[in-house]
Amino acid sequence: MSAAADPPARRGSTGKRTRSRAGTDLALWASLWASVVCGLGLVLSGLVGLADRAPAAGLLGLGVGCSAVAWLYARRARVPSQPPPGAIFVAACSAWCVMILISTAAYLVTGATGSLPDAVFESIAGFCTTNLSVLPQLESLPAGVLFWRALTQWLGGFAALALLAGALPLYVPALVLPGDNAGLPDRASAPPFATQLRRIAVVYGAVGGLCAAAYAIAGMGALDAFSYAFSTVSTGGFGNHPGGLGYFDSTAVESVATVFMALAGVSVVTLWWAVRGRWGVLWRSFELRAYLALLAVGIAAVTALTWSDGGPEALRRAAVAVTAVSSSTGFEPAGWSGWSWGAQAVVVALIATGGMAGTAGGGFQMRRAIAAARYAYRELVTEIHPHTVHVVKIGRRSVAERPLALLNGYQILFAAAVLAGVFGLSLAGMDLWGGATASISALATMGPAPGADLGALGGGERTVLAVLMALGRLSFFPLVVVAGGAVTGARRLLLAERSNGPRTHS
Amino acid sequence: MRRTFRGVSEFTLVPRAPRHENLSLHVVGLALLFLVPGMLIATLVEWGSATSDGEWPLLLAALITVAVGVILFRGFRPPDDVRPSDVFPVVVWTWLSCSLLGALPYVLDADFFGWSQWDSALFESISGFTASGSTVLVDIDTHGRGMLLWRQLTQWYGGMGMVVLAVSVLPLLGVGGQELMRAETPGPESDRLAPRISGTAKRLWLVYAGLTVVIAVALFAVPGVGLYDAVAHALTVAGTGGFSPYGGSIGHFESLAAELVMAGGMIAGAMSFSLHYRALRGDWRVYRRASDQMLFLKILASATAVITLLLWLRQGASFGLSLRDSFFNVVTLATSGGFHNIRPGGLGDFAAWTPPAQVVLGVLMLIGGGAGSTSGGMKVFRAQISAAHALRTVRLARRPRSVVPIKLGGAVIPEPAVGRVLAFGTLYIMSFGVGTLIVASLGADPVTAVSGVISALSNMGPALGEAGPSSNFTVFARPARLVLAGLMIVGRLEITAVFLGAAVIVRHLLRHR
Repeated sequence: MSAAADPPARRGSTGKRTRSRAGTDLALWASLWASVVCGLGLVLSGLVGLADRAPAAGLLGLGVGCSAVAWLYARRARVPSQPPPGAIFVAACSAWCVMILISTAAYLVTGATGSLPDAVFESIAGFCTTNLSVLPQLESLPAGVLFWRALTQWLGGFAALALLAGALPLYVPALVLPGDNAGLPDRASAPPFATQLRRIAVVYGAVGGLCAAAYAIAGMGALDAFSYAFSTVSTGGFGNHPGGLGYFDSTAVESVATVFMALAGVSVVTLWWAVRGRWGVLWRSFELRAYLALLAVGIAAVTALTWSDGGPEALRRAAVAVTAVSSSTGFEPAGWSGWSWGAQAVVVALIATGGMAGTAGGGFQMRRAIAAARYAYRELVTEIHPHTVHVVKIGRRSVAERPLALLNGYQILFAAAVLAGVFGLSLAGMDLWGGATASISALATMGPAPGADLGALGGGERTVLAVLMALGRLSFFPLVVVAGGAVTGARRLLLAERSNGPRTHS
Repeated sequence: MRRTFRGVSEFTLVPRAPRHENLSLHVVGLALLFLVPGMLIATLVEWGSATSDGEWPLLLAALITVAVGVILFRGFRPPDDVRPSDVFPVVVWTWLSCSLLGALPYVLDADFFGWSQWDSALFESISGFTASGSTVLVDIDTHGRGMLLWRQLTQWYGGMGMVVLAVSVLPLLGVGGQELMRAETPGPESDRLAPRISGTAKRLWLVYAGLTVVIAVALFAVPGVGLYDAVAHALTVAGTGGFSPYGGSIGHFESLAAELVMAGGMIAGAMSFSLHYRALRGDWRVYRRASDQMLFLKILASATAVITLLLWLRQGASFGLSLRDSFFNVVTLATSGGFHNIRPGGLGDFAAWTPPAQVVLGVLMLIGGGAGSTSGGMKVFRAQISAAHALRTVRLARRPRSVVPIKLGGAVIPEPAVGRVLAFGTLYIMSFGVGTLIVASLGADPVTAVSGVISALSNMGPALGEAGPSSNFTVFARPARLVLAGLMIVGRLEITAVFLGAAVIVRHLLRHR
């Protein structure tokens, strides 16, 4: 009898141990490789600093140390072949934490700031591709630090895309990377993670390089061109000078930024197929058409609502602002807090909507918005025709029921996070409108918000904004699952202690 | 075979014009006829009070309404079989017609709004029938008692719903009755209280009328509240409307007892009337079994506690005053009542409260009351299902192949019902987004626009910002008021009915073009 009862217990415990081992292995692997990449980034920043004859010993030392130590262990780290989603989420969160730790150390070592909270917040904002900078006197910082600051955003964007490729095909197959674009992989035929990562790196790097070249042609110096290119294609928004793009006072720079911000809001998958010469994909992508239509409508609406404040100049201003907010690139449009209420409301709506899925940008994203609207339409039709079978489609592709359920859950979490953010920010001292816009903007990984004074953030405001940024950057699920797991684990520990207590005592 | 009249073969009747089949116009006619007694009572009150000369507009409006009602009711008959798609236009047409003819007294009386302010009259009428309580009427106290009583009565009619009232006397409808009630009644399914759907509708209206009488008697017992005041307020408390014949609303009485009676009435109005009926039949434990109703009470208690602390600690008010004003305003906003208790030395102006307290109030406005009640908002059961679905989603993200049912009060909610709730959420966000963009584009500041749209969709009444309880909706531009009025109907009919009704009407028009 006991022999019959033993095997299932053994199988169960082995399975749990295997899952837990896979989680630990993957988290270690991701953290080590994140350290290697960050170390190399620091070395590159140090070299940039040296080229500019700025002090770079701290960056180089930290970079070499991080990358060398991590490389030694990363080579031997094992990668589980088919990790469960929970393990991927833990790995994503741990890699993010490691990157933030390294960046915090970099800011402190280089003396960019002497305050630990400032360094942590700057690092979180950087890797979350959000333009919420707290570093004072940007222009007095050494070139290496400025370059590293922009690089954190580029790496943050790349990591977000890697997470999409690595985790999301497992649980939202039809919603993000494999889309309605012709020839794209679905769940069954999805290419290996390494292939997807390589494709993303090619597209992301190529767009970044082109952007840097265009900025240089438009008149920027080399350091500014690369820094602004990194923060443009990653939809980050960090700049080397205060005042965003307005600092350059150049139509050419603004035009380049507008084009590349709009491109940053286009899915890397769509761009990949366009690069491969499959131009038809661009036209057949329903999501791309919807995104471009939204940009056009947004520009028209903002132009019309701000026409009295500058005439024809309003069109140029609206184009820059709308592409910046739609792609969640955090370049702050000049004077937007003084725009008419209608224009501000349009801008906030665009921030919340965001660009296409499969980008480094944030927000609710077009694909989710389209799927949610189609889902609501189906439910309306079902009210009239209760027995009909209606499949939700985006373009020509149907969306399975499980991703739709996840989408609806995402929508609820998004709305709840906005409300909680407004409450937290108002508790920390912000007014209602400022709190609402800042909350939406941080969640969409945009950063600046109309009507919100984010110049001198207190501790409470920073905490709320950091949580919102992280939730938005990691698409909720990894952070919520890990936090939920931590809470459940702590509860189990407490319960075990409670139940052990009297027994030990007796 | 054609329908016969009272069992007599139609060959024995005097030949008459054939009656066309049209369910919408038939029900609209009946609903309009129900408005006539209210108009006549208001006429008598206006005549008796001699405060102004509004009796003729009221009488004329009653005559026009009865004429239109009789023509539609007698001129059209319901079809032999009612399809699911037929019921939504009925609800939309009924609410539009009642709002239009309900505005007649306002436009016929030049001292009230007059023809020049037809849009304000329509806004006031829609705000009344949807039991919202937002007003564009200034110097309320100066108007005649009869006209103000009609304004109160519109909220009483709208509280339980004109279509439910029509269904209660329409045994002819047969199949469509339940669908009609479901389309208008807030909640997941209309709870059957009697074998026939008309019996259910009658019982609901009886409980509603009984609650109104109880509130009126309780208010009349409060020192300083006259009979007219008690009846007028009872009509809008039971319907969780928010209109008051005084500009100072409940603050006019400066009475804690009146506030407590009204808060009790609003809480009763924001809970399911089916449950009230079952409780009156002796099953008092029915409330404990309804998880959403119990959660609603817990939400009220928690929000009162949080806001009391915020007012006490952050605004420096005394604890007693904070508790009194937070309780009344939490109740009035969570039940979508929309009254206010601004008085000297009080904290009734919630638009001036500390911002976190206003955020809590905004969330209460969004959630609303219990299913099957007269309150607005998205309803507690939808919030429950949405929260449960969000938690389920997190589990699904971790274990993609797991199957997690959603349970409320121990019962598994069927997936189609969950789907309807999720779609409602999307439609709510869309309506909110589009409404806010239009209202803000028409000049309202964002806090006023956002809270005004939430207030309209939740049938609340006052909003935050410039449209707070110490002000009114005249702060919005005139086109924006019409948008808000439309949103009130959208919110009262819980979005789906309006979208589907509009779609069916447009399809019908295109087909017969």
